[in-house]
Amino acid sequence: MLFSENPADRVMVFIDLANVQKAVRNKETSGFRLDYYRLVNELAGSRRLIGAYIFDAVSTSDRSAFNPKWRLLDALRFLGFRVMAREVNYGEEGQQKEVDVALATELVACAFRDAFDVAIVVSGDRDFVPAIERVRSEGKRVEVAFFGDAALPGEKSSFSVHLQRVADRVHNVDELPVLQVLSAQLEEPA
Amino acid sequence: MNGNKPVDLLELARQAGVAQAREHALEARRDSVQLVTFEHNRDPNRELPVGRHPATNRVVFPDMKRQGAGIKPGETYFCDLIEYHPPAGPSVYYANPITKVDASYLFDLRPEHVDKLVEVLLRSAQGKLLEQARAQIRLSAEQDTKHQISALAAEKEAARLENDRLKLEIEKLRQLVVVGSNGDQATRQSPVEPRSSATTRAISTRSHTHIADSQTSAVTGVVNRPAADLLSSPLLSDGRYFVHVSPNRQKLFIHPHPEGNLRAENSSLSVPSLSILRPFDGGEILEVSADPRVGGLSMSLAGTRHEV
Repeated sequence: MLFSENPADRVMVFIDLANVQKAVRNKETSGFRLDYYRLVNELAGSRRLIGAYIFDAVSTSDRSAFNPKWRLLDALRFLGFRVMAREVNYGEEGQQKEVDVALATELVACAFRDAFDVAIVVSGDRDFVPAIERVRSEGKRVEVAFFGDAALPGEKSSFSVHLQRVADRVHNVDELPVLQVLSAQLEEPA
Repeated sequence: MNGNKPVDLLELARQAGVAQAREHALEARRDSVQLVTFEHNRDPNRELPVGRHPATNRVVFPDMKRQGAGIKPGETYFCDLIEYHPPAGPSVYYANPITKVDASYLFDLRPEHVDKLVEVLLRSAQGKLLEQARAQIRLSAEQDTKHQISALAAEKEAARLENDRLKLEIEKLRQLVVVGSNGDQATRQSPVEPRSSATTRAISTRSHTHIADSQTSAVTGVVNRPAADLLSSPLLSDGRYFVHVSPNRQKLFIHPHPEGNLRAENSSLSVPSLSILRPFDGGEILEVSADPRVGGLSMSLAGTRHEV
């Protein structure tokens, strides 16, 4: 690896939740669940983790406490993640509206505010390439984390090769111990 | 004398020593004529004004027997000075004024005279100026040296503090290495990185000291797998654990945590779904590596099988 990890580096992690969930949907089988806390710590490594963002779109039609999406976001908030949830209305449910732009905007804004030294984008979406290039031109390091294997057999990997070209470093999350083994008793997914 | 050859009077005079004598006389006069400012005599018993020779700084008195009687305190003259060597003490000068230097004299001066005057004054004060310059340079150099010395002392002190800090850090790291090399004993005595509350698990700015396994981990022990979903080892002290697996199912990571969802009892940890990760064909032994800084046991699920 060309770069070594500097413990003094300030790291911020930007997670495109929908992209990640799509990539792990066949890996989160019964008995295993993606541990986002473990994920960001594995990615930060020996460096100073100063913040982790979750970007997602949520439906405004169901705000009940039992909505799994709301529960997941609440759990992540409790762990210390900064959850940036864009709202979609009834007709747009299931779609990702404004999420990519929100992530890219926050990434660039934080870079301009000198809020981090290293940004780790957890997504395989090619749409982030311009934002990553802009942040790198500000002198910041940008790393990309992706799930290398295809989510489902016959499906293409969600990771864009264009992202790999612009990133300073690429983390293959498939090699990191980030899936939590659930106990034998029935555990509800968070 | 040859009548055809013109007479070179200058050469003749030189041969006769006339010109040389004149040059000597001019030189002597140049030395004897000085610009002197007369002041009140500090000796209350004497009323004569006194001045100082600009080159030698010796005392100059008006030559009262000749033209010096008109000199008053506060006046400046071009004087013809005659040196007098008394039987005891340093020599003094007696001054006969040539021209009084006052405002009218200065106004009447032509530019070339002013230049000449400045030149003479500078030459006469050269010694003093040099002395002053030397004193200033010495003072400035001393101040600079003092600043440099104090800066170097501060740097030395900072380096000493940094040295002490690094020594402490090295000592801490050495202790950690000793703990790590003690393997199972150390792990049994203190489950690595116990956490006390839910808030400690939250994202924070703490320094997370994970280092890649290939760099720091070393095989520190083995774990028995007596059953499909059971791990047993003295390394697994009783308590709660989190167990994580990599999505490619190659790596398993076990770390103690007060809120862990899996419980170890009697040095045995039940890991549900372990049989999904690695098929069970009878008892086997798995090698584990520990990193005391991360606080956990890491094992490869893709390694070769060691039968019990």
